[in-house]
Amino acid sequence: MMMDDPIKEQRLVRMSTSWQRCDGQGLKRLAAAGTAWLEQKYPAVNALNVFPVPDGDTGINMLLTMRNAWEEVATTAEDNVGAVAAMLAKGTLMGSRGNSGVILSQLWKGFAQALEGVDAFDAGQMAVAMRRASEFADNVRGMKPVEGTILTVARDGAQAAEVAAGQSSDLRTILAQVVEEMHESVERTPDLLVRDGVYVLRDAGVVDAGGLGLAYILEGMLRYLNGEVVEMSGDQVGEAAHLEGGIDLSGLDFPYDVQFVLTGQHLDIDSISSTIASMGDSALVIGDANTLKVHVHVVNPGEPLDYAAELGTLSDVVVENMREQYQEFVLSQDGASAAALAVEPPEVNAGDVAAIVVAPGGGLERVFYSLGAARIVSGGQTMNPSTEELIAAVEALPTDKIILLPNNKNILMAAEQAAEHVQDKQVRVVASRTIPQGISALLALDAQGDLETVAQAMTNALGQVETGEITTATRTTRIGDVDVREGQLIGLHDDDLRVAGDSMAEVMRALLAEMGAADMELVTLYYGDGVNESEAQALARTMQEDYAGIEIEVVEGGQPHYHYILSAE
Amino acid sequence: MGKVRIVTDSAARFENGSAVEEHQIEIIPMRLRLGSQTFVEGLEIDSEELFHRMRHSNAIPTIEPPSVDEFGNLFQTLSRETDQICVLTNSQHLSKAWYHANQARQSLLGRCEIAIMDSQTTSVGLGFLAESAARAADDGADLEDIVRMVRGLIPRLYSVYYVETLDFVQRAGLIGEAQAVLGTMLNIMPFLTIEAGVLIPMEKVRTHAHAVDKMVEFVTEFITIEKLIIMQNTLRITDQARMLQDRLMLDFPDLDYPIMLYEPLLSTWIGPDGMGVVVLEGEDDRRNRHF
Repeated sequence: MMMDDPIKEQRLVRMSTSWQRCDGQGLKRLAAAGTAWLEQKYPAVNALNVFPVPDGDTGINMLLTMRNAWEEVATTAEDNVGAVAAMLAKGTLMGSRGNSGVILSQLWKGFAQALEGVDAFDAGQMAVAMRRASEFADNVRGMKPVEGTILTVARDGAQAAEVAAGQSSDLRTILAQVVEEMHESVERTPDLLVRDGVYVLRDAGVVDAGGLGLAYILEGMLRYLNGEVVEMSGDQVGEAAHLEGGIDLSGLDFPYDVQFVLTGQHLDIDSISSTIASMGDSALVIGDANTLKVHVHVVNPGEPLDYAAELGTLSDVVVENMREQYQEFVLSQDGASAAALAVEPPEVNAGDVAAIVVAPGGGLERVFYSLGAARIVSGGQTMNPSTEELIAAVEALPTDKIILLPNNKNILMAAEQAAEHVQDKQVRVVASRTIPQGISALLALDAQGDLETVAQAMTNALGQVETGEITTATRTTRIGDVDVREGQLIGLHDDDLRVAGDSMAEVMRALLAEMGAADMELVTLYYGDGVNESEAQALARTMQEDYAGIEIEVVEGGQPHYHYILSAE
Repeated sequence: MGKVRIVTDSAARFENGSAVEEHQIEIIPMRLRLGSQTFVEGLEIDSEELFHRMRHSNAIPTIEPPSVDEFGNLFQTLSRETDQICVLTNSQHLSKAWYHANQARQSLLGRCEIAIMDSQTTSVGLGFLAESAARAADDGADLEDIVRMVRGLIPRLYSVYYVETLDFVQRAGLIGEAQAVLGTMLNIMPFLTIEAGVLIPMEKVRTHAHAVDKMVEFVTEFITIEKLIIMQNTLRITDQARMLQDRLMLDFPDLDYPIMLYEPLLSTWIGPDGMGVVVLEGEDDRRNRHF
């Protein structure tokens, strides 16, 4: 990727005492800086979970969303700020993960709309664009925006920008006011966010994570303008641009392992090396000017192959789908006979109604495939897939009637955004908030049915199951009338923290009581990746003593974070 | 000469036990093989006994339809009394009876008019068609009339079943092996319907309460119902049957809700642990079926 001249940049910032206009390249720098600062601060944002549960992901979701935006603009030389803003909007849209990522993308979209056709914005235009960003995000869902969230922080920031722009034309001054106001707004969120009559942030002793994430992004931009980031080293922008290698979040984000031998004349090892390296991960290019062995992990295997084919002849080409291998590996590790089954997704024909399910891999993937899910999207590190990943899954199916099951309330918005942005297919989101709801809905799938009818039947099925989740508390707190000590086991019923205790049996028993299991026919325990089957079976037997009349099933879920997911119906 | 004679196979079940004798319906028997034993259906084994054996033995029961010769012989015999025969077989997708009947017909071409009709169903639906045909024959209808009448009745018959154990539907190819293994662990009970004579898997449930919900949903889609029969693997009134009757009586207070056993042929497809309903839709319904 092209690196801009860092010396020239330092001159730009340091030598002008005030910065009056921001063009496309300027905005690109700001986006990089905002992303780089969030890269440092995201763990703090992740930790701001209202519930003391270990799957806080707002920070990383917003970071991944911004990284996608960066990738859109990383190689552009575009000077028109409206154009760059549009690229950032598109990048955040496609890369949006989690509800906070989606709202962030909506803010960028509003921002870009206001800057359409603008070459470079001044203070006044920046304030207008921030206001437009806030209004767009506030109104896009057609519902009254919730106070005490990222939307509040964005609005307060826009307000500060307007006031500041009335007094100064220096963008740095405006931004300084915005960042100060945003942080203060974040501090006020505990007094604003109310859910079901409860001040959830205040009671949990945290501020709103999305709001803080946004404040950090703007703060990064300000630090850059203040020369801080520039001062650290000549290639500070390079560091921001170096995000690809910065944190190894890839995991299996580059699922194809591509290897080949390239034979040619006067091969430029260095140039080929750096080009291959920029395509993905774990790049290795060794050999001499006539023969090079190349190895790299990429998203699109065609990319390195097409590139190399132009330079010489290819041989010994191997392309492996590492995700499949990983799944097979996981399957072969387990002792249970069901786990050793290779469960394949059903065949999908044109005109069928097909269901795409978000599930965190492992045993739950097998469960969903066996129930007829056409495709599982796992969402990578945060278990929150991006809008783009969901769209790709929709496009990959050979039918145009699709149901999306997000199985997590933090994936709902990305799912809806994906559904909105697919042009050539009909996509309906069935708003499942938990894995058991997703399973219940999937049972109602009729592949030969009419899409609307099936979507309705699946939606009706959501309410037919109660969900329980058991995990370990990440901090000491009080939720509602439940006191929780860090390290204790906690039980949530339909996402509500209801039980805390020290023994698994005690917590599960109490949680089942909360769920009204005594009146149900069937309880299922999905055990997570830290639990082995015999433990789970023993626990089920203990529960069976208290619930003699109901059937208790034990199924391998393999989910992270949650020791057990329970369903009762 | 003589009235039209009606022939059906032993998969047929009759709500009215005396219908066969009253209307001189010819039943051509099928054979059931279980392990090393063979039984003539209807004479040597009945459903309940068969289901009991199926649950306690590893042997897989198979149905043998009447052979071409057996059909041929029956046609020969009947052709002495009549020159018009209407044969109603269980669905060609459930057994080869229809194929054998067609082949046998060749030998009587020219000597006897024989219509071989695929009922696209089995069990009590098949029995109903046979009985209707026989009544029409008694009233003097000719073969053409009867064929037309039966054609009009076939689309008004609907069946849905749900099954508690998955090995039979898996063996029948209706669900995959992995689905069966995981499905058993998950307590999955799939619903099946007979559509154009083919058993098609539909939604699934995990509890009996939801199964009853689904059956109620299915039945209440109809605007008018002429007949409804609850099909079970036992003649006792089960909890599910009672729940079903209670709830359906709200929408269809004038109907009876008889319980009948489903037959060995169907059990070779869905196993011994199924339950369902067969509905004869009212005559003038324009129905938008969602189930």
